[in-house]
Amino acid sequence: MAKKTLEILTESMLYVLMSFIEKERCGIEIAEFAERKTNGRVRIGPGTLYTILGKFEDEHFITEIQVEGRKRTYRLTEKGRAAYREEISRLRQCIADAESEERL
Amino acid sequence: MKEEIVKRLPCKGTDIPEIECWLDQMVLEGNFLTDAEGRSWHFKKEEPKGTRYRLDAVSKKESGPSDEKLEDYRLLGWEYVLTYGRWYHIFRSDDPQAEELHTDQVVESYAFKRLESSLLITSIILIPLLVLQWYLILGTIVDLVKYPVLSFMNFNIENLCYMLIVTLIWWCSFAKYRSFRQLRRSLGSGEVMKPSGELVLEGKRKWKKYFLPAFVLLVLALQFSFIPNKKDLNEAHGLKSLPTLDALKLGAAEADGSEAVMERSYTTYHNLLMKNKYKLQEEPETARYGVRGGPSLNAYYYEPKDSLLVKPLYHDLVKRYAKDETGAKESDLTLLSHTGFDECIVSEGNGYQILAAREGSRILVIQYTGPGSLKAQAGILFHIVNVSA
Repeated sequence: MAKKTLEILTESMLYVLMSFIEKERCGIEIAEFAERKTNGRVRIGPGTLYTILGKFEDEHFITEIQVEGRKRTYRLTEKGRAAYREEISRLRQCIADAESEERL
Repeated sequence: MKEEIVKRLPCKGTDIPEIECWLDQMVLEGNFLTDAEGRSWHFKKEEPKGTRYRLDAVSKKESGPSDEKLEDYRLLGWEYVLTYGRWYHIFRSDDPQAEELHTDQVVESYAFKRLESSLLITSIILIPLLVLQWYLILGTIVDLVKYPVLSFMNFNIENLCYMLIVTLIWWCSFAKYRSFRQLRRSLGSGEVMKPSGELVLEGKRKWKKYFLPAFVLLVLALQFSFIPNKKDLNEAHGLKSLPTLDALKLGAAEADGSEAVMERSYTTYHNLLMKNKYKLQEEPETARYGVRGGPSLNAYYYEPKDSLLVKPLYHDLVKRYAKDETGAKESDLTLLSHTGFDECIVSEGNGYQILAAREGSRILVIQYTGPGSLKAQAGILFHIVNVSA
């Protein structure tokens, strides 16, 4: 049986993927990006961050591109970019559904 | 020097919410974790402060977290303390402003997947061994029903111990797998992990900590009491006191050891119920390789400590060897008189001759294949039993 891939991303996972859209990043930069982007609403704890990075590497959503001392830098893969777009599209659909419901 | 204290883990090693709650309680009492070995957790005394301990499941095959991980955790306010049983890393934070270690329960549930899988694989690998041990002990249980006194006095404590140990290891592995699976599912479904409050009750279960050492001591004591002691036949107390093929061939108790091409083994047993017990086996060397030829002999000698056990034991030995192994019925058994023994029975079948004899509290059973007649040799066997006495 093929390994089940991630179907729905949690908020933390989405922001981790989002952080790679602009550029490659290392772990601490990702946590800082999520906090800055959401004005402190989404804060990613280190345990959560490293579990997500491990999971995304296993799923080939991201790939390690540089190891500099203790710092590892990752980059988004095409598969990761596709997963991100798919999730954004799903969320847009959710918002559209919610807005159409409010207009009724 | 700071005072170090050792506390016993009051809950299961897999119960993460409970352990975190307990460590938080320890901090309030000024006890800060330094080390953990099994269920003994070491603390040092410090001034109580707002420290938090959090557990982080080991998600990769690693002895400790990577340097990069340690550095980033430190930058986010978490210091590594130790790794417990290849299951989880323990981190502490003295900064009340530091973000929680895990901020997404669904993501946290992924971290338990590897632990769960590895414990499940261990449990599955152990199943054939478990089945084998249960199969072996099942044979012992069947024997216990068919020949209760004989089986009890011959009890194979090794099989029982192995079965208990394998069952215990398998059960521990399976129970841990179930605990982690339950935890992963709870986290994945968004349930808030709350300590069960069992810590209060744990004090009443102190007997649990004595269970494992008591079990190990019991197993060792039983092993020591029942362990067989194999001896080379020539190093035994002389061939003359044993019913060897040699002695039967010569027609005398004085054997000369001329049956040089025989495979011989002589085993004596330590047993709490048995004053003396031995098993003698002699067979041609070719029989080991599946080619039968020449005479062979198995002799079993029993001398129970309690005279009350003698008759029931003799009854079981007759049933097992003279009847069940030869396929003889009660009417096929030949009672021999004037042999010198108090009781003596011979039977024949399935290529064996069996002689079972009792003299006072001593019992001898001979299982013989060969051209001779055990019936005719009963007098020699009586002499041998009296020499060995």
